[in-house]
Amino acid sequence: MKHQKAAILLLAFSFLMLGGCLASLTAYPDLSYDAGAELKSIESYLSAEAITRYDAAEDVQRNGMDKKQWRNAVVNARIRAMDVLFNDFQQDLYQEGVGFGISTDWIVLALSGAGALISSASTALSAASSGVVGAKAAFDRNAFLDKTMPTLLATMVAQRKDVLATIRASLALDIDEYPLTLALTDLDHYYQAGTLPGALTAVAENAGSVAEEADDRLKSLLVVSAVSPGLQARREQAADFVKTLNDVELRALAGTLKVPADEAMLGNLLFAISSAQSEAAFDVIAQKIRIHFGEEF
Amino acid sequence: MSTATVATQPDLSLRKLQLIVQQQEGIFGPLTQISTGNGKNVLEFEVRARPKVRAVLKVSDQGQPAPRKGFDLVCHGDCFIAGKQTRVAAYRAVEK
Repeated sequence: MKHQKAAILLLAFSFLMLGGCLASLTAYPDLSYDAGAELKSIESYLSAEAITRYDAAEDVQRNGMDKKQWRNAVVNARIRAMDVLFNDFQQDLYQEGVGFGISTDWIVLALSGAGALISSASTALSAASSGVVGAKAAFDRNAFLDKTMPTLLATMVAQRKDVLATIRASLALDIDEYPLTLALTDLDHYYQAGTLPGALTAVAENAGSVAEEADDRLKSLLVVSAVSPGLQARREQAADFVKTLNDVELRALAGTLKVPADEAMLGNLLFAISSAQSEAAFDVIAQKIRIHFGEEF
Repeated sequence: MSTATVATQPDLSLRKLQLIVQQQEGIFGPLTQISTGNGKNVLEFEVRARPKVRAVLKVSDQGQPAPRKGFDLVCHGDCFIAGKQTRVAAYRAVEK
């Protein structure tokens, strides 16, 4: 009974401590501005009328701005609006999953640690720990959210930066080269870059190109076959010799054998030796080595 | 660590594949990895002095290959043996 009371007290204390820690450590600081009010202040640039006014004949209909200035004002306002909404979206995602996963892990770790330290309370603590783990499991899309979401968020942020750089550079162009309609298309790309489907597409495309590169590498591999013991003995002697050469000598031999004289020179020369799969082919290499270094193979 | 990767045709016998591995070890250095790719066997070697004792290949069960007395396990992976995907382990006799 006495142990039970101690356990309950300790458990309550642990939760208080953890609650305090988690409350004081948040992923996102409070905004120093009113996002809603900010969106309201730029709403004239967000409406369809902003596009109509771009086409108006007189600057006065664009608050005294010429068409390029108006285009830039509309684009900048829409970028700002998308940024505000993207920040909300990011925070929602974090609170939905990523943040929960992390904070729950902390609680589990803290409870397990406390359980290990104080044996009399361990049963109660273990039970509490199991409860939290259970809560986590019940909420568990975490396998997806914890592992995948940070990657998707990072992809979204990176993609948005890419599109934003293009838009910013284009805003320096005249309206003939970069009319508002084209800017609006780029803004759609900017929006798309900040969506989960957009990020998933980017990740899939990237995975595809990585796989393609790997395929190309595999296709270009030297295909080797077994050679006669006599030829192999000569190849091994030549390989042993090449491995003793210094950088200058390797470079000279690479030049003679017409293999790339880069940082992988030694490997490239060994590939040349490996690809000599007939006596005649190896004789060519052996002759070049003899001319350069006086060694016979 | 510099590595060199070569491929072999998929229709070789285990014995022939082992001979190729041993010959390539004599040129590049010790075998580090065996696998398949693009319908061929893919062999990776560490570029350094050739090993005194060459690797031998054995057909292995799925999972971790069985230890062999007097041999170190070098690597294991899927290979095409006579055109058939087969689990293969490479061992090297422990030098005395």
